[in-house]
Amino acid sequence: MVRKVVFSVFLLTSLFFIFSFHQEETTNTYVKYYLQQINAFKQIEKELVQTIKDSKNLNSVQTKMQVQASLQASRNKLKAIDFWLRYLDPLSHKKINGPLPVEWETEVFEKFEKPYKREGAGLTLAYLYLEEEKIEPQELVGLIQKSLDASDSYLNDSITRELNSYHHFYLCNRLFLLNLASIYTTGFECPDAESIIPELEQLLVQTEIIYLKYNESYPETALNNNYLNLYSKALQFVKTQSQDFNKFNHYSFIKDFVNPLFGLNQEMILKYKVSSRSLVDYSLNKQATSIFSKNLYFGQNPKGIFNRVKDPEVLAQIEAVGKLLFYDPILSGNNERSCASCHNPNSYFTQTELPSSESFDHKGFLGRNTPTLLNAQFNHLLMADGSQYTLQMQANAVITNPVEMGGNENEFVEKVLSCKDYKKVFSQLIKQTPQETKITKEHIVSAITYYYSKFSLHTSPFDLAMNNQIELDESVQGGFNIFMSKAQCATCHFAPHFNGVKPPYVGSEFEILGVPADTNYSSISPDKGRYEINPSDETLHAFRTGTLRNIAQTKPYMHNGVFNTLEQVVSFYNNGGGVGHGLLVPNQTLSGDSLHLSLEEQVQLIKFMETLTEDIPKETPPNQLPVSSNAMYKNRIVGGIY
Amino acid sequence: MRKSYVISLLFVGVVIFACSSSRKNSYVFPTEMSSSVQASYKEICDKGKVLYDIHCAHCHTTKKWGKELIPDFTSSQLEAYRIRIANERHEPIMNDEQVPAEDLGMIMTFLTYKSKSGIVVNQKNLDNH
Ligand code: HEC
Repeated sequence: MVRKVVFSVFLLTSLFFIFSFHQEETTNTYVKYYLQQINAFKQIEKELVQTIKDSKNLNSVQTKMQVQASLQASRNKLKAIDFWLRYLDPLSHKKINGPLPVEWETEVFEKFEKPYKREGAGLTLAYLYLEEEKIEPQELVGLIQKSLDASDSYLNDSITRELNSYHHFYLCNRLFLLNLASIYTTGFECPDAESIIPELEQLLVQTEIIYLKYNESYPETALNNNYLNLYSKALQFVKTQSQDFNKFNHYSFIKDFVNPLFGLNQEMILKYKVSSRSLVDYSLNKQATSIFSKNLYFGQNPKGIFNRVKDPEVLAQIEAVGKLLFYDPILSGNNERSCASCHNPNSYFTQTELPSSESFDHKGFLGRNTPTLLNAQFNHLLMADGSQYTLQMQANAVITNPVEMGGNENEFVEKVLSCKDYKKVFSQLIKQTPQETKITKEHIVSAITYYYSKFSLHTSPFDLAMNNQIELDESVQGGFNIFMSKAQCATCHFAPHFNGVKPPYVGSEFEILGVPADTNYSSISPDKGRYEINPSDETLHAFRTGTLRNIAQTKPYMHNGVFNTLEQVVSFYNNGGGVGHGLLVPNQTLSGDSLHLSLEEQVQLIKFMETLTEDIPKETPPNQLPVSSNAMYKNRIVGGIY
Repeated sequence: MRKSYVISLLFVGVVIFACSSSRKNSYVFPTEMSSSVQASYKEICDKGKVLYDIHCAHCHTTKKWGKELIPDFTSSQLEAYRIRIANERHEPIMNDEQVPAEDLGMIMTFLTYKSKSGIVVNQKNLDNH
């Protein structure tokens, strides 16, 4: 017994000793600064909660202003730690400063699970709540309390441990730079347009302090002088710019500063062999040298089941058979329709004549507009309602959809293999997939997805300009600046993909715009959108944000193809979407107010969008299709007949 | 002479057969799992085994007297996405492009249901990264 006590005492003292020693050892300047800043943020939030609790009448103008000022102080302090928060624990960050009252999570690690609902919280929502007519102190405190509670997670061991090596730093910085190009200058999480540029400046100044503290503690893997010099220039640039985000030169900021800084950071990631410990990184490519290059984000896996194939000869073989299949109506139930019927490779892989394509039985039209396949791979979820997770699932779903291609899942493999040429190629290709004992539909759809994914190269005039290879007209630059600011486009169409996938590219966003059924706005389009997949109040009429790349070539527009010109689309947004046009859309996520864009601004906006047109190689359809041994499939026509 | 040659050849054959059959994958599914579900899981496990051999075995499997010793990972170690970043050896070779989610899912299924090797994995090694 006594021995046990002595032993425990010994154990406790040694533990205590180790613990205190451990603390002393691991606390470097950089870590110390981190802890100090997180605690300071918590302190300010606590004071904010106290201010609200102490105030007698929240609805008086004076108190409101006081609380507002206090909230702004918290937001400013948040900018000092944004660099870390967003990367080290993305979910807690959303509780501290989430942009939406309710979000449906569709992040990568939950891709195969049902989306789940997360109540929003944090400073942005608190700020917006202050604008309500009647303010309940409980409600307001609740929003901020959730933010305060979430801040605690940043003091957890599992997170502070990361700070003791240099790796996290370059990955935090990569995310920071990507967000500088995508959201920080657009007002995405900023309720008050007037604070956007002041908050940006605050963010840049505070992050520079983090850089210097880091360099002090990690001299062997320090940010190099090239980077630091360019960064000070970026800061100088922002200081000389207008405080009005509508007049801010977003174009030059990204092209001359953010993107080159990103390139330098990527160089250091490779040079210092930076290794990630975070789930948010695996969709990003360490080899990419520019934000505007196709290999930045892995996106979907176009090779499908052939993902391990590297040999160019084998890849060429897959591509060639993929092309034949793309044009071959044998995949359809009546052998008259191919992928190319609706996704014409020489019309930017879509069809532009009709709002939507003819249905399989010729008796009507499909419910939704045919999207382009170009850049489909840079989506987290596929289809306007996000119903498909992978390109291969999507291809399979279209082939077997009774109103689209009317094929049969069990039959189409057999039909394809009834052609000697197909059988020969796939019998060779199966060697590349040793886990499969026979040729399956996966082999077939993977060849198709690989084929069409090769066309887009991210070399639109806008990409080239961002990579300093060409100059763009001033009016186009102006159009981009409007896109990023006044027109609010960039708060949903995030650069560089200009779709609903924002850094770090692990989820797809959906929006409710109130798109009408016809151009007279007689009613909202009856299509329920995301609701069909995940029914809830917030998902009724919600559609996944599509890409603007090649938009000038892929009319008609919106999920139902209701608009035929970009002018119509811009006017739709300029006048507040469905709500602005008098439709009843209680859950519209787009503001129903006018954007007050002048005619000239609208023209510039369209000019900018036209520079997103990529140079897509001309495709020549195959001369003939493989011959089937089954007489029923003998007279197929290249590309199908409708 | 000739006879003993044939016999020893036969013996070698039997040994090889025994080894290969002992190497044959076998899985342990929960008894509550219906037999049709088991059958489809077995199919996934078989594919997972092949993918494991391709992606993981050169670091994780030791061959001893014709037997494969695949570590018995614990369920907490088998969170598919976490494995990508579990340690610095994994991180550069296991991003979404190199080992897509679909492959990883099948490997996880295989590792979850494969019968235990009876080899004690040195937990210290596993924790030590
Ligand atoms: C380059 C060599 C390498 C490859 C390839 C590799 N691993 Fe590992 N793996 C390691 C090392 C090193 C550890 C650390 C544990 C140790 O020290 O034994 C580890 C640990 C693990 C762990 C334990 C993780 C934890 O949380 O404790 C799992 C599970 C694992 N690997 C699964 C896999 C799977 C599945 C694959 C194939 C997709 C794979 N590994 C491929 C080297 C590798």
